[in-house]
Amino acid sequence: MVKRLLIATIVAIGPFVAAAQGLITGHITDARSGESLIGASVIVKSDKGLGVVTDADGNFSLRTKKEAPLTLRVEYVGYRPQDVDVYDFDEPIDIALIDNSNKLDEVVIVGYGTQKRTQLTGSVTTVSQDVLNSNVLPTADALLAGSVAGVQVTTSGQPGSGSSIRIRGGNSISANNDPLYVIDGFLYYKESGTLDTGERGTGISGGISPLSLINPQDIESIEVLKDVSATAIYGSRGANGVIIITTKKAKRDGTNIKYNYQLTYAAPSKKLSVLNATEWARYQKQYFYNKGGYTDDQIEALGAGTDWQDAVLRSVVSHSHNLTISSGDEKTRFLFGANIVDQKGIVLNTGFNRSALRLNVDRKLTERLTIETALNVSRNKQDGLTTTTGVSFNSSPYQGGITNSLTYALLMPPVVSIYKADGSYNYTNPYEYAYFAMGDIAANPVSDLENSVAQSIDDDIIGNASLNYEIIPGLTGKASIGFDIDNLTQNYFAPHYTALGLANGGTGSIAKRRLETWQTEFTLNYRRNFGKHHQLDALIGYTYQTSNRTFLTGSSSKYTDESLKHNNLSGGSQFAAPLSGESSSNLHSLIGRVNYTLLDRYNATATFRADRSSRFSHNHNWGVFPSLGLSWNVDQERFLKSLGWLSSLKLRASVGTVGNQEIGDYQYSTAYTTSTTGGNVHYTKSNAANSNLKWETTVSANIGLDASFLQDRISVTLEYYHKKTLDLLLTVPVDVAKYGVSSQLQNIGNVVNRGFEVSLDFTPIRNKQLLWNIQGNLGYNKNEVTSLGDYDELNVNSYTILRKGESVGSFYGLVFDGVVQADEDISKLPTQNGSRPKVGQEKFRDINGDGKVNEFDRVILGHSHPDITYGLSSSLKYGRFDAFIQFLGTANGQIYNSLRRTLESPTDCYNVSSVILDSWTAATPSTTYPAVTDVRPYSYIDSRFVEDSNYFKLKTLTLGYTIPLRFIKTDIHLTATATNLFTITDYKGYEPEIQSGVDRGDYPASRNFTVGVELLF
Amino acid sequence: MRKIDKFLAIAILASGFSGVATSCSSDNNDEANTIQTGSESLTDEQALALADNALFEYYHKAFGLSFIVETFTSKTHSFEGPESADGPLISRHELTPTNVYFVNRWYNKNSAVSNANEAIEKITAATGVSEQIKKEAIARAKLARALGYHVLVRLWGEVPLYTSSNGDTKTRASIDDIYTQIVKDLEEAAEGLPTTASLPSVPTKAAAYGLLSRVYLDWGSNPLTYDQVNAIKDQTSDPAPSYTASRLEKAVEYANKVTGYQLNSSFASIWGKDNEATKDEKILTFVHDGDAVGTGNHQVHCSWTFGFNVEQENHLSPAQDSFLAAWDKADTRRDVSYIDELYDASGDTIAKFKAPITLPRYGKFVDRGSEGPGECYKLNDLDRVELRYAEVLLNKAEALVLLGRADEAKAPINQIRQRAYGDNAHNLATVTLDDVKREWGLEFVYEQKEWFNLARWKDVIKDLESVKDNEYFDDSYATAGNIGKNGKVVNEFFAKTYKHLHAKYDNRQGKYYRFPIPVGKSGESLGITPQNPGY
Repeated sequence: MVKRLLIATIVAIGPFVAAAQGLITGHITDARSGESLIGASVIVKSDKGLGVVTDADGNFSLRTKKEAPLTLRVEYVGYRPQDVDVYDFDEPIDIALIDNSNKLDEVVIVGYGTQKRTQLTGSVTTVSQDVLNSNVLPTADALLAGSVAGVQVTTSGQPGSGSSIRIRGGNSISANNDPLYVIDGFLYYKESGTLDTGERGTGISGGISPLSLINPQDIESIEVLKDVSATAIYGSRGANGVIIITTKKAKRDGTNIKYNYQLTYAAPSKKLSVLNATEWARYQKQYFYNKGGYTDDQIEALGAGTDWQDAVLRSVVSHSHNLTISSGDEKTRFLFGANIVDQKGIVLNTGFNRSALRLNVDRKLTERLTIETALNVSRNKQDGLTTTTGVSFNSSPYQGGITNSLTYALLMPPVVSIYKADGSYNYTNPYEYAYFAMGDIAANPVSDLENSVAQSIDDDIIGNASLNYEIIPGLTGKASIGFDIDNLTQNYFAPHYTALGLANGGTGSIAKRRLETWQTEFTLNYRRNFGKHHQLDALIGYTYQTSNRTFLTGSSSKYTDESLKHNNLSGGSQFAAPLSGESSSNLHSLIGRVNYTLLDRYNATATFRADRSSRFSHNHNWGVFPSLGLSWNVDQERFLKSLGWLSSLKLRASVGTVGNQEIGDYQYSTAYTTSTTGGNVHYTKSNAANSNLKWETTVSANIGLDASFLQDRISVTLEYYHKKTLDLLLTVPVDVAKYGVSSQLQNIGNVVNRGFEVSLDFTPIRNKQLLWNIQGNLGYNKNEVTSLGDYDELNVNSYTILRKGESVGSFYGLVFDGVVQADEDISKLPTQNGSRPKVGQEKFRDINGDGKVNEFDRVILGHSHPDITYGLSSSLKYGRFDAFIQFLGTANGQIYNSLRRTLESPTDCYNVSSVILDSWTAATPSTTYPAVTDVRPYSYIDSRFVEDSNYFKLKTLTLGYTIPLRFIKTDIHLTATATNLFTITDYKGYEPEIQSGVDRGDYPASRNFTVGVELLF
Repeated sequence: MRKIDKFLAIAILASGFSGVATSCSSDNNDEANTIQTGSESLTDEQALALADNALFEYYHKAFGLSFIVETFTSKTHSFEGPESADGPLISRHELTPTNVYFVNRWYNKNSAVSNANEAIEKITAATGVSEQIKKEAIARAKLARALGYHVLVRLWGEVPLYTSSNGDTKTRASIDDIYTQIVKDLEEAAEGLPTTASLPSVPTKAAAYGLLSRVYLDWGSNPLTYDQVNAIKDQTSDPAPSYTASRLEKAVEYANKVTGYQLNSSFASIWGKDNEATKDEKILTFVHDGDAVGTGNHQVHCSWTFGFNVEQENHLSPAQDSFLAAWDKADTRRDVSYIDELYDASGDTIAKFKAPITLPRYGKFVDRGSEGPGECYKLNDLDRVELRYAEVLLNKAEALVLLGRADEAKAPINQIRQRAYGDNAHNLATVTLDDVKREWGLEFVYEQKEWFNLARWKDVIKDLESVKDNEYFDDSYATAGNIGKNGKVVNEFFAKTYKHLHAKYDNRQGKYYRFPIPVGKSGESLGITPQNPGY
């Protein structure tokens, strides 16, 4: 039985009714598991001496002479006493008791099993039930944000998009840093990126979240495994941490039906300030060519003009429905879930919807044999933005700062209208250059968003089935099979009048990817107590997982009829060669773990996993990942037992190795890309074989302290960790003449992550009427590249650098040194591109003092991942009223605000930030904003645009009230929730949560207000 | 696909926009994943595909070469992006090893060499290939290797000579050793290549011979060695030219071996989409399908970046217009090579690319046969002309003049002039080296010859000095808003033109007879020492 401390929830199922002055009957269960509790005592509070205990089925019957209403007191060892008001005696009473064990007695889910927290040696954090119960966001990523110390979650504003999740920093540079997800025992990994649907330089922005298939309301628990004692059982896939998601099962207490509906109003949380029509025309006339030919009077008459930003952003209403039907008895349990989400995005024509069904069934086939199954079928559809991509040729709109229709809208001149006089879209924009204008058609961002297609449809079936057989008492064998079959379709279409369709006379693609993963597991688990002092829990097993990925893309362009969009690719007159491909991988694993506990005090966990991965060559495909964890329940020692204020105290330490294999398939072998020219296929080497490619290994050590005080009213967890990733899977330069490529994935270099975490759980008030709980967590992580092999620095580009001694993701650029003023001695200033800067021009620091500012004067300007992440939440339950609030934030991280750099760069064709009005002039000599010119002295970045990403955000505020409807024996729970209500930050962009660390105009966050109603039958 | 896959020994993986094929392997198997060079069996098609990989690498990104060999002269400037961007830096003669155009050219040509080496080794060792195809495929690979090294040696001088998969990639070989290898490759290629082909994109013996004439002309003009460049690296005067007669005679000999080709009847008919498969004059071309499929020819794009927008600064443009004004109006090449005014069908002017707003555009790669103004500059799918017969004629003419046989040079050079003027009235009665140089300049505008020619002629510094006589070198153009020498208000375009012209002049130094050995793509040192003089 899995027991868990339910911190803030008092679950009392059903109205408490009994026959007046007569027989009171009822049934008492464990609140979490639904198991009947045998021997629980039930007394009438005002009638001392009158009491009974529950029978073997958890039932009781109690005769009283008192009249209703009265209060029953229910008590059971290991559970919190509970008072239940009884209003009449007509119906039996169902009472669910809450585990009263302290936090260390909690049983948590770990890899391939469960473990009592008292015996745990690793760092395992369970996401609070408050967070799970209060969530109104449609994907599970959001549950982790601010909830677990040391877990940094950077969410996306785009509905349905995935979050960037880092547990204790990123270990790797070239391999993936995403954690491993284990969903009901199935090891789940899926890339969130999009396919190559568009033609060169175009595509679909964002990507559908790998976790979108799971309805968050189906989730029973989320465990985050952080240290090596906990993750080593996942061996080569454990280095980035493991997130175990367990979905709900029915309780064994009959039938429950739950339905809830949520309505969400979302609005943009922020707008960027750009020039209005009058301001822009005046600025054009003053500094550029006055292409509009406006007189001063006409300029004044222009007024605000078109607010393009307002035109592409919107307020929306979304809906979600969720139905759960569960039923269980002593032998069989089933849970059926159905979920429909229709979430609109705050950018025109974007959104996400999901239809999902879940069926979890388990049954005791015999006394010793149990079968468990879980099946989730979902369709997830995301309408995103068409986007340009980071191509490097200079005529790319991307180079001009345009990444999608949203950023383009910001740049649209406000003197250009959205619609013509006849109400049709206006495709005339005399200011646009060749980026997004062709012949007599100029792109219109509103039309782009309305008429382009950037759709991802993900059909996913994930399921597993397992047989558990108790061979002898204590020895259990388990065989399971699991699968995930995922079909992703991406539809892309840009008509000839849209930004991305101009160059090719309209272009469209359909890309399909099928990802099929199968997993089999065979484990033997032996649990036994030897005498009073020795407890043993041993596990051995073999698992096998195989994945197969296929894809197919078809594209065409230049249509005679675009009305059917991507549904008629054959209507194009130009066809790109179809793309197809397939890759496979597999992983054989042997696992073993021994937990030993002595005197309920001293715990040891030895874990072992050996993986054989097809992603590495023959000589290196086996990896062995051991770990050892020790813990000491100090509170059980005699010298502490007398301390009444100390509820529990435990010290933990672990050391071991885990690995990372998320590099894609076939990276150890030579690979070629193909292209077709003149009808002939050409092969270009894209990867040179490296038969020495091996695992990236993270050696990790962790020490932790768990303590609780004052009858568990205060709980504290402290952790310190040090992780060193060796043999980095790092893409390093190689000699092109020898290898035919310029770089190759090799095992070179080290990255160190070290830090500490603090978690606090405080219950100021806990009584019959009021339960108030506060939780806080903070994680500090320092990331450092300690070796790059023979190199001191690599991957230097116009804004980042990988340098030994610095953090991964370091920004690299010049230091802005103000604006040249009229009274300055210009002859003493360093030259910029061969010339002395002029009065009014920006100047930069000559770091190396050689008298000229150039690439050698660049310095580290910050790094993208914050050193500090934190979360703070509080729940309160008072009678029928409940409330939950959660804050989160980060500190000491930076963002390169590329969008701001674009908006603050004067041009004669695009709108600009309002700060342009503060530019330097002789009359108003600004020291911050240089004089207006379209000459940009340097392509690499400078310190002005590397901004602190620190923020403090109110993530969720929920207020709830439960109304019992006795006449239909139903409870209604009404909720009102605000998400992303406010953000305190100095960051000047839309939103400081930028996954890549570079803000090129990411989908902005919305402020959401949700009302919900939940019916419990 | 599976055969290719097996032969290439590997999983062919999906990546990139340009297309991909993938093999599948359910498990790793080193025997199937190690390159086998001993006893692999190939089909004829696979052998040719392997060889073409090397050719493909050579030309695929060849457009970037324009930024070096056009922009690094007095004739062309680049206003691509901010002034600190790599194009304008070359235009201003401010060179660093990190300049992306050098990095990419180094990578691109060495990649071609690597692919060629791999192809030669594998095809040589393979069974199953017919002897005729084996010979032809190896010949194509050798031609690709020679093309790669000829660019490498001219841009960087002594580069590592890497002709097998186990060679030394760091030690710089002598100029003569590199040219010896190039000549050897091309001569062996000539033996293996077919005499004729249906398309100009298929290498023939004539392509090898024509390239040999090009290579021997360069080699015969005694390229500067490292020590020679080092000696003049700070000088502002050119070294004296010298020649090796025996090599020049080879240039003539191989030019004469190019048979079966003739000049197109009109100069205009060489260019444009409709003419790209015409073979008369084109001896070797490389196919570009356009940016939409990832193989765009940016000779098109960079010269006509913003189409009819006269106020936008193109990636590459003529740096001055005085030489255009002096062009003989009867020369039909002028209006093909430059666009300074466009008319619509009714004769009305659409755009004027002239001062005081802007300067003319290069016109050869503007597809004038396209359907409309919007399409003529975007598709980038014009094939690249690597070698045309006119070059063979000029190679021969130049070599003959240098050999003192100027009389014999009249015939080849006058063939070109006759086509250009449409009559014999402009034929030369005598031919000097200056006549040949001028003809190169008229015939091969913006065809990636300019700096290579100047280096061969030892005129690099002289060329840069010439900008001081340019209209826009005058200080009146220094600042936007001033009144220029032409009486017009100077706009930012001409202020920038002034800046670039002065930078070209100020930076004239002997070291610019070659370019800095670049860093690698990740900014790392390539470990090739010593760096070229002066960098």
